[in-house]
Amino acid sequence: MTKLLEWLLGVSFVGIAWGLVTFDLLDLQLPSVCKEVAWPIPVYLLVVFGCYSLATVGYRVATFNDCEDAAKELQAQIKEAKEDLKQKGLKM
Amino acid sequence: SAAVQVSSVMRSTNKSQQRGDKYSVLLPTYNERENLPLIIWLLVKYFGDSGYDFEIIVIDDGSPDGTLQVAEQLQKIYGEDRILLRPRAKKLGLGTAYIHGIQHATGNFVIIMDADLSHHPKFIPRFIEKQKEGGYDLVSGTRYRGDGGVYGWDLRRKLISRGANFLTQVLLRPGASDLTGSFRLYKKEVLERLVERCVSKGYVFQMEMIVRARQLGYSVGEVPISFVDRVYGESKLGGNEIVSFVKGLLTLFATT
Amino acid sequence: MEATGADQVVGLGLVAFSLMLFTYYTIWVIVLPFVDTDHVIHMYFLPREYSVILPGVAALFLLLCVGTFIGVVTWKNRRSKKLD
Repeated sequence: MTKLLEWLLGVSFVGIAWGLVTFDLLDLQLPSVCKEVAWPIPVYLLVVFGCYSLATVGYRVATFNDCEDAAKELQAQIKEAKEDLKQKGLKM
Repeated sequence: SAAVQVSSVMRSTNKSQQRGDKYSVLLPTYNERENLPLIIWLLVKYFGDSGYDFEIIVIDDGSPDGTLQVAEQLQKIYGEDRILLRPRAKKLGLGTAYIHGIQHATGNFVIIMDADLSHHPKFIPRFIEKQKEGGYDLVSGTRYRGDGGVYGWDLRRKLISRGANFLTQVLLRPGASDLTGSFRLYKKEVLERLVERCVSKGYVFQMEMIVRARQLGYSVGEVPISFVDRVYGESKLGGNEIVSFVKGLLTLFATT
Repeated sequence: MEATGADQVVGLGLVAFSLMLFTYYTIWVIVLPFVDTDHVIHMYFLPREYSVILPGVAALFLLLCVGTFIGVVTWKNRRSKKLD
């Protein structure tokens, strides 16, 4: 099953559950508070996902390591390599 | 002296030939006349120090700047058993470069990396150890976990990179933290099998390799690496790259 | 090895912003229906319909931006291909 199909399946389940509660399709006669909370849930889930995405990307940018040392080490090694290769007869 | 150094490299690698593992490093190059000697020097140094058996396969796509001539000089210095040249007439894809390169590879493991010094050979022994530790079919270098990281990226680049990676994780749930990285160690037969199944280009090709590897049940290990971007000033990450990345991602989402 | 100062500020700023947004929105959608309608807290929140309308408008705006971006990039691409 492709990832797309997995998503569609998951979304369908959530959608059906939401529809059942909001439109009282099973005639469950839930308290009106339940309906009140339920009807914005799909939008709520999207907003929460949006917040989660922003927070995750923000946190990962804040903790994205900057490798200063690696750059310095590379510079030093480049010098060393050029010297050594010159000695070995490389014409650059 | 140079002669003593070269022969000590050969002596220490003779030890690991008893273990039987040999590592073929694929270096696709295009206009890397300046960097090629440096990357090869570093590869020889770190393989020599660690004692693993190796060969370097340079796949030059008809570079107009004379990269191939430099490669020939390096072949004379380090030996034709260490430096193999598999040039091509013009710039063709990365996938075909890998296929072309492994055709004559004598190693049982293949390492792919960039030749522009953004990937440092010092991580290769860590890749090898990680592979032995878990028996992994492929080991991927990651910039996003552990003490992995980058040098030379501004805020915009970091935001785009993390944003794209987040989107990839949500859509594909790939079980690897860095999908667009191209510093990896593969078992040779694994690389062969994967390359023939992959159809994408550019960044997405590397993503597809890992996604297909998971599909086929291969195990993936990770090693944090530093990515030193010295080229960024010249080749920016533009709208074109972003749009084709998203297109490729959505294609993988819908087809795998 | 860490991220540089400016990157940390922006990143953590995003985290703080999304936490605040999440908290406000969760209270609005999930908590308020269980709170008496004469409680003072209702003053700080718009009528319930807006909890769906506002994100809806934001989403449309986002789609518009993304669509424009893709459109501009594709058009520039076609233009440079024609000139080739």
